[in-house]
Amino acid sequence: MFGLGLGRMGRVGGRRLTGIAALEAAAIAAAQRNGAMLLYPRPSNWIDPNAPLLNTFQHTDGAVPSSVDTLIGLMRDQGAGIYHASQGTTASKPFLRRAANGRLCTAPDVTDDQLVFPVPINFNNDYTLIAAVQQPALVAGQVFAALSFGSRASPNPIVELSFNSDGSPRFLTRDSANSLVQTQVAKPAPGAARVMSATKSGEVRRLYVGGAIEATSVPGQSAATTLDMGAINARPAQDAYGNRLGAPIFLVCAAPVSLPDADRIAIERFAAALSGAAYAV
Amino acid sequence: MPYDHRCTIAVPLALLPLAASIGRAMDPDIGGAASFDTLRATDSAGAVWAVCDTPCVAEFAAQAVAMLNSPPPLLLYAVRQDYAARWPDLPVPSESDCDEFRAAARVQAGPQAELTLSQALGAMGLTLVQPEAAE
Repeated sequence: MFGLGLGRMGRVGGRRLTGIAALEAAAIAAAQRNGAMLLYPRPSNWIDPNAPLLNTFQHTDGAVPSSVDTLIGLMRDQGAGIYHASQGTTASKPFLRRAANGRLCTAPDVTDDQLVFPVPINFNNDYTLIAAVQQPALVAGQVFAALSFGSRASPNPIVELSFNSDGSPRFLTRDSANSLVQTQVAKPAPGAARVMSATKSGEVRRLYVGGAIEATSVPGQSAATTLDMGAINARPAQDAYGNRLGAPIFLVCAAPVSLPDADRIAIERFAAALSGAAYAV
Repeated sequence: MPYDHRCTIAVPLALLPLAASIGRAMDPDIGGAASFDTLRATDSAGAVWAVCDTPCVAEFAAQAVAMLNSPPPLLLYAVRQDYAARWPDLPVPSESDCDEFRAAARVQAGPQAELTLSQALGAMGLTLVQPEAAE
């Protein structure tokens, strides 16, 4: 009989989801199961490239949707539904842009742009961070652009997925004594979209890039302070300081648990489809 | 509404509380009081300035320059109007506050494609103090 064998998963209103919509549904379900924040500019449909956005707004009141080349003051959480990211100061709002590959992204500057979200991760405990971000082009004098979670102010702990001065993706944690714990892998392909994930399960930290596990570490240090906020921001370059955009960010996910592999992979697959990043498990 | 212009305003660091109270009214969103909190610059004498650097629409850029450079109290009127509408419970900057801010502030505005932050600060005789890097 027609329809037999089709489960309820992947169906909305009797219509079977395919392509990115199906990946999105699986990612949202995975995020919701784990109480994870899931942020990305969500168009009203996936067919029309100029479709208005449903969850991204110019001001914190959520009245005016962002469009390409306008600012982002509020981005509503598509996962747990409670960790909305916002920025009330116009001078610190990132832009909504189209990346070089045409995908919608959050584009912070290298000075002070950031969206703040209230994810209650204790970085002493388990967590999962996932980001789809465009690896920045290497520019002489520019050290790196990065995606950070946690306060930037020393000596507060920082956990970040970032790109080191040679363009290598890395997973960096900073403990309360401001000591760095860094895990870095060589992926010298500036300009490529990357899906990067960092997990902490017990004392074991892992870094995944493009679905492959790249590094495992059991550092002696761990963050000692509970953070109650996070930030999407582009770190300023160390040696130079200009009007250069930070790395375009397509999606971020933060969970106060170490996600089961199946759920992490579901979110990573969607992140890859959204950003155009290569992905293989 | 393209945010294709930039407006950069700098005031001596000692005026930061005053800049916060006026910045609250100049920002159409809720966080204007923090506009001068992050960026710092120094002048040739080594004095520290608080800097607000924001993307904006062309109309805002023109308006900001007019408010800060014109003798008529445009800034005072704009601040009073905004406080009455959005911040009725907060003390309104006075006329002398606005005059002090206007007299001390340096401003540059223009299309982003033609005016970088470094250029804007340079035109005001200021040099950016680099924020803390990650390592």
